[in-house]
Amino acid sequence: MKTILCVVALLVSSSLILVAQQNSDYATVQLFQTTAQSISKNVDKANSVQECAELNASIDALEKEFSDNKTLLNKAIYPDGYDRTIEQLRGKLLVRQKDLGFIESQVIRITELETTVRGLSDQVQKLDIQNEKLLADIQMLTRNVQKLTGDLFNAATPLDSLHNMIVKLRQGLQDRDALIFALTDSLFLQYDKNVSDMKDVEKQGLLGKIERNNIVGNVKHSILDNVTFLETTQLKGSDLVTLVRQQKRFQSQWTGIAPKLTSIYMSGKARKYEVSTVDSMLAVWGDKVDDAMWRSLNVLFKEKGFFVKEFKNGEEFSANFISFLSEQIQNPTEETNDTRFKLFTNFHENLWLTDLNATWLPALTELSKISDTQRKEIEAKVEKWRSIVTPGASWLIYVLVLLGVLLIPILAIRLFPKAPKTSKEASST
Amino acid sequence: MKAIIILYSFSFLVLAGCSSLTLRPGDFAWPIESVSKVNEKGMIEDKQYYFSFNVKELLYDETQDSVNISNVTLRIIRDMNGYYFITASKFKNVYVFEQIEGGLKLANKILVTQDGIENPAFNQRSPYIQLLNGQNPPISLTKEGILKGENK
Repeated sequence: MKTILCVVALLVSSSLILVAQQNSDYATVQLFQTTAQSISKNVDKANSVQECAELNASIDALEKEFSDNKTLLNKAIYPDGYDRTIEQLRGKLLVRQKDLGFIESQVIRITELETTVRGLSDQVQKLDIQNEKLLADIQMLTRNVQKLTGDLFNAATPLDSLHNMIVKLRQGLQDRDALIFALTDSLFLQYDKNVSDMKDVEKQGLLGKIERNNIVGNVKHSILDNVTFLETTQLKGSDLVTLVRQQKRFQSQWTGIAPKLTSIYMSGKARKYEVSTVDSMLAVWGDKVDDAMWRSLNVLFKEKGFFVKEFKNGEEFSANFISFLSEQIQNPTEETNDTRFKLFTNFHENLWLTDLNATWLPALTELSKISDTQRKEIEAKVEKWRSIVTPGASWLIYVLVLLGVLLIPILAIRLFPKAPKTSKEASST
Repeated sequence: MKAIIILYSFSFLVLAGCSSLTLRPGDFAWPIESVSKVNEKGMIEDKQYYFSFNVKELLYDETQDSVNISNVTLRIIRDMNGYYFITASKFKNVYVFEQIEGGLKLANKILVTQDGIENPAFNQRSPYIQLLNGQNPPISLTKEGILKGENK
């Protein structure tokens, strides 16, 4: 396994070495030959279907990595060159697979997963670079703007270029998170069985892949990036709700893989703590994102001029908001109807329709911060407040009653017309 | 008249037999450089291109030291015309040699930098030889020197 790691390390570092060497043809040829030799030695040692698949993917990677130097390699390596070297490696691996009795289709399937893993790993690295640059740009731009305008301006200020960068970074972080979990899934899928059913050799193989792809490190990196993003951008409203959703999704995905990782890490004490470290970091991220969410909602009430008692969780929010609504309904300060109507209109048009009912209540319910019952209670209170303060509600009722009163005799006349005259009355006339 | 034709034909055959035979065009370019360590006797040996020669004189010319010569790594490449370009890390020059009977003869000594070349490497870029010099831009060389327009 260590030697396979070396092959991959050689391939991964090849581009860096070539850059460092300013494209020395000699270095390119040396690297190709060293990697090919290393793969060849590993083929001799391969014992599991995963190892064969991994070597298959390594040959693919070697072929792809050096395809631009095909002409040079064909000239410089006598007599095999690029084409025959690759061909020989494939042939050797095929013979080894047959010797071990592995089914070709099984190797191909795992090779595909391994190739997916490598592709995803490359994408994660690219996103790392892109996200780091975006975060640095956002921090710099925010600092510059704050320098110019004081505290009036921050990352939450609607500034097109800054907002675009924030959106891009948020998308980048989301994509990275998704890639890491997809990568992890692809790793476990290669073994096609539960960790508990794996042989020690398979566990070691999987552990090697997990470490090589730095799964736990990448998860930690994601959490730290997301926390930094949260702290840097100070997002509000629906943007913040998106972040909360992202945190919950991340947590749920981590909950899915953490037990598997724990089983794989059973052998090493130090590694076992890795999983619990991620749990703690995830909890910190969850707390921070929750704090930011409640803070944002508290600020929203204040900014719109509604004095709801401060809350720090769903229960407090529900209780304090309902208490506020009850107070408006009961009107203990005996405000005039006109004042109450204006207050309600302001609440309804600038807070309820735009933010609370549109974004926050559905999100809080979805995130299980408040229950459906609590949401319905809030909605009922708002409705009651409306019915009480809406002017014309009373006179409308009076009009309706009056109309009713007028309609009854009319209907009665129509339904029960005058009785026909009797014969006596008729003869007298 | 017949005698003149016979004489003319005979002299043509004699002259043709005496003139040197030339094979052109030829391409002696190596696809990649040879990297060889100098041994304690001042010799280098290459197993890919199958040659060996003594480089004591070259090392003395460059370093003025003919004692500490072993373990110097020389980089050698041959251009399409058959000239050998030789240099090493910290060398100021690239030496251009042509083949003579049983050895090499200096054809040109190209000064690249007074500070010494950092991690040099040759690439075959026919009709030129490309010299990589650390982080500096690559230089194109011919047996006459650095290609015009290239940084010295």
